[in-house]
Amino acid sequence: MEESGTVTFDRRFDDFYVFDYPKLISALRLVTGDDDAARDAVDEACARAWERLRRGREIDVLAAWVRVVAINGARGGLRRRAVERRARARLEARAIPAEAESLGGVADAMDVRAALAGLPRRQREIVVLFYFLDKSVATIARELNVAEGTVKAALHRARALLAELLTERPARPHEAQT
Amino acid sequence: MTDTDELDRIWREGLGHLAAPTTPISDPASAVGARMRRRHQSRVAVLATATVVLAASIFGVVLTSRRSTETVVHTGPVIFPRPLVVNVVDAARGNLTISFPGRKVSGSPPQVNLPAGLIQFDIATLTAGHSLAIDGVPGFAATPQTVGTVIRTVQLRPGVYALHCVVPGHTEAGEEILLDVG
Repeated sequence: MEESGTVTFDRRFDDFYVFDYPKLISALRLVTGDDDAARDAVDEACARAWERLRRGREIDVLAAWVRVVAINGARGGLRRRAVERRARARLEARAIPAEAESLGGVADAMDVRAALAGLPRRQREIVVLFYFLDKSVATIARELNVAEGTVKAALHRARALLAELLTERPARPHEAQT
Repeated sequence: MTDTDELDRIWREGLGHLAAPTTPISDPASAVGARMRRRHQSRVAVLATATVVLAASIFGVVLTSRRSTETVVHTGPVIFPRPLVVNVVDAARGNLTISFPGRKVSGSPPQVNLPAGLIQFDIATLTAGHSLAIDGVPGFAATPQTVGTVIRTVQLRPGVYALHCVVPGHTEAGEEILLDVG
């Protein structure tokens, strides 16, 4: 209940905000290519979940519910479509974090970034859910309301695109020496 | 390791590198509370806008309906020509009169000048037993031989026409007016 602007919080949100919220923001950022859009979608989904619980309606798995609502929310809407138009360009232009280079994965990360930008929105969602959030094919199919075959086809397409980019990549100096 | 496994590994690690870390929220309750307040403010704004639009629409409808009761003066061209209205009174014993504003009947038999074009005859037959006609104008059907008012509208070209009662003896009794149309 709400009193004087304070919120009596469902304790389930505590765990969600600690363990799932940061990763979900990162996932939505990968899908949309826009930090504001990612935060906006997740925060809106959280607010809707809280409102739903306050009205006495149950949510089985809070993290899954918020994830689905956030992904759908990030997909719809006029403003979000405008964000989507800029997403590809941002994904392509995004700098590789410094830690990627220190891990020696900068070349692969660049190809992954290019492959991600080359995928349609729905396939990008599937790739991020599968590889970044470690969700199974069955879970992704259920949450995105698509057939499992669609998920598998999207993953196949993602692998093929990445393989194509890796093949086309010119040999870098440190790779040529090995 | 198969190519698929290797590609999956690259995808996983690549996305892990691309995803900038997000710091957890230290005070979830405040975050959701702030979001809820923004949603509430947004809803209030939408409701206020909808109310203003609705009020404006109602005002517009009322204004339009009020305007529709006002007299409309056409200043443009008249699509359908308005006929000249002529009042004809056919009474007993040869008292056939025809009149319209601004023109006078004179002569014997009486004669009146009318402009060529569409002319509407409002014929008031005061007693039974009359039936008017205009020679040479089939469209001007004879009025019924009953008491009452009938309207006949005809297109008259320039010429002289005789408006008279076709009941035998009535024309001779004086129920005749010449229409000088020009």
